[in-house]
Amino acid sequence: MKQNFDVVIIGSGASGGMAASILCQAGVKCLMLEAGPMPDLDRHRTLKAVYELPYRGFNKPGRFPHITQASEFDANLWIDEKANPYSYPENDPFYWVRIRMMGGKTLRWGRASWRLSNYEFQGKSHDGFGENWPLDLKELSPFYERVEPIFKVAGRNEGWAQMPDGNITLDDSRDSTSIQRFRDSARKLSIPTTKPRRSGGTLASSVNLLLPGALETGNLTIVPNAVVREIGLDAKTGLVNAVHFVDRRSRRDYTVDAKYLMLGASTLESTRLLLNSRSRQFPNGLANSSGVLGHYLFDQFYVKNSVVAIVPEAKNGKAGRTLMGGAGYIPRFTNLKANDLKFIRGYAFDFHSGGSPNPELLPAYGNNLQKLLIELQGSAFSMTTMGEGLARYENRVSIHPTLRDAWGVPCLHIVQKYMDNEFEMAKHAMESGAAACEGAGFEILAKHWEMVPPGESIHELGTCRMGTDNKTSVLNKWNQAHDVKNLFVIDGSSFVSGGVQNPTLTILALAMRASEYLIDQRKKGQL
Amino acid sequence: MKRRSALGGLWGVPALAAQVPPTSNAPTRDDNPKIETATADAVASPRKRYLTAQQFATLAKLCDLIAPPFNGRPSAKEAETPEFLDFLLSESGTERQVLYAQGLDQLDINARLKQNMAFSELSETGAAEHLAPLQAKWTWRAPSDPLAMFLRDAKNDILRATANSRAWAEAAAGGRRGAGLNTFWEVID
Ligand SMILES: Cc1cc2nc3c(=O)[nH]c(=O)nc-3n(C[C@H](O)[C@H](O)[C@H](O)COP(=O)(O)OP(=O)(O)OC[C@H]3O[C@@H](n4cnc5c(N)ncnc54)[C@H](O)[C@@H]3O)c2cc1C
Repeated sequence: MKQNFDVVIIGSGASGGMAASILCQAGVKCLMLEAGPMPDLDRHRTLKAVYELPYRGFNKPGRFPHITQASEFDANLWIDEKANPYSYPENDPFYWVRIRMMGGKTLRWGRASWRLSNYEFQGKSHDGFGENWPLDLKELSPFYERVEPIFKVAGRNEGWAQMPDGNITLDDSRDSTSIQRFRDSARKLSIPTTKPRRSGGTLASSVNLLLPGALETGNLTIVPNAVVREIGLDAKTGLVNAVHFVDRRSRRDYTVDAKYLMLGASTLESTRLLLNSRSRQFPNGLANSSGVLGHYLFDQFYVKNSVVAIVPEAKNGKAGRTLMGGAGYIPRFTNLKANDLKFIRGYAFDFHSGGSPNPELLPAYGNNLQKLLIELQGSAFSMTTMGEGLARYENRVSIHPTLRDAWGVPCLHIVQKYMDNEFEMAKHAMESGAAACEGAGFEILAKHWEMVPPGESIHELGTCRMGTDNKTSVLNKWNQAHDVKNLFVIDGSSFVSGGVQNPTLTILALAMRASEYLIDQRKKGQL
Repeated sequence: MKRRSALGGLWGVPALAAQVPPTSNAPTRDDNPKIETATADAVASPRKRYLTAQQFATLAKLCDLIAPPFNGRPSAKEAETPEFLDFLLSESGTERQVLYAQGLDQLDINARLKQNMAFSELSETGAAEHLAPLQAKWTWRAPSDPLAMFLRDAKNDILRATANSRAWAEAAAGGRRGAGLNTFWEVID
């Protein structure tokens, strides 16, 4: 006799991990299907010197055409791009960065953990663009409140509306003099600054923070290497009734019954799965009576090292700990009251003091370059811009007519372009960042506003958005499909807009809230 | 012949000696063997794979100019950077191969036109005018001139391949093992 499960969860990353944690602790029997293998963090990680690697740290040429974050050290962690292809228009590349493994991208994330504010949840009310979310900060706050301690988030609460305070460990560490000078200069320009806000611990992944607790309940069964290819629908009830998957290694096909489905395969994979699950009722993809599924793709654009400066006092071996070191964050500060710039919404910065400038930036070679590097050692100050990409209908994913992955599953065609709003914002960011550096007495070494291709920020969002109107959205405010009541899509695909904040804290809070809603509705007999 | 004596013969150990039981603290064959290995780089010279002899000579010269020995750090030459980049190019896509091949050819042509000499034979001062793009202010977009674009990429590659070499790690660590160690993820299946 096969085991019976109440809920099937697809994906073991931030969203799937949180659903498993909440549901299992409430006594719900869950089956988690994860496309990737289970890493053994002791056995699969060893120490190696870079010169021992076959390509001296350069990576095998062509192995990762789109994952610029992959190094030769961690190459085996990232998705195999050949086995898992996708397409985009010839001149508009999309860099889709994926990890297919137990824990998903939480094995590698940078852990910046910010709450969204009502400038995002109620963005349309503020400036007329796009849609409001069907919920606001007040509704999501109790969930943020509980997620933050699980992920041991630390930072500073500043009481700013655009950067809601959190239930976090306060970071009272002293700033280095260079950071203090930068903050003073920024303040004079009315640019707010704060400490970074990050999750703590040696690993802040679903594999150590969420899955162990769920497993301890005895209610969770995890099947790795289960590549879900389609979701089955009962034509009579209009409800999900099965999940079809392929074993990654043997390629054998399986089907498992599903009473409730929590889909957390990550933003674009979840939408791909829905688009690939067609039936008589839903010929354009499961739960897609609105036709909106796949549309309104957005992310945050990144301008890496938009400003790189030198702290003059740190030159020639004087970059001591009091003067240099540390990091900070500038939350969105534009268009908070009036909308009087050439763009709507805003951008944030991560900034960092210390380290040496990349030799690429120095106009020298040979001994002159080496002397310059010694002179500038430890004296660099750098800023990276993260700007809001607007959710536009025409930015979308669809199923490619012929392209298939190694398991025969139809692949995505991804279209996302930045437009004038993003470009104007990036230029403004470069100028304001440079002005703050100059005001601090730093020497600007390089500045630019060229963003990396869409997707590279690894904050792809939307395509299965929530809303109050089932004609313009796929999910209701509980991440539940308007059309199919036992289907919940709990990852970043549900976002309506994303602001400048890294999205994972919100994904976790939404997944927690959706899971508790499911428990509540079952108790009430509503589902 | 018995298997054990056959093995003894193979390894050049007299059959009798091979049968003597090991002393109590000597490792036995049941222990988990810890066998030290070396990398090919450490013991052998790599064979050239992609560039022509002329292009390779130009690259070697460029390496000397961009990353000479400095403050006890090995030069690109000592780090076998030209040989490594030749190998890397042989594995790279056509675009990169063409960028390098054309860039190296162009440097050589320019030297022959201007100084009537191969680039590889130029003095440091003689080569300087050909490397002027490396003294230009940095821009985010790669320069449109193909030679300038090649030089910018080559500078990065040469510095990185040199800094990531065994010779560099040994110099940095003063011969200590463990220089430049980082966490490596094994294949997970
Ligand atoms: C280098 C890096 C830095 C980052 N930094 C930050 C940061 O600082 N702050 C921040 O907020 N976010 C950051 N992120 C993004 C963050 O990791 C993601 O937002 C988060 O992990 C998303 O959670 P998820 O559950 O939606 O997807 P994932 O964590 O990707 O998990 C999805 C899981 O679903 C599985 N899956 C996919 N398709 C299928 C299928 N068909 N069948 C079965 N299983 C499937 C995948 O294998 C994967 O394990 C970063 C990411 C990376 C890679």
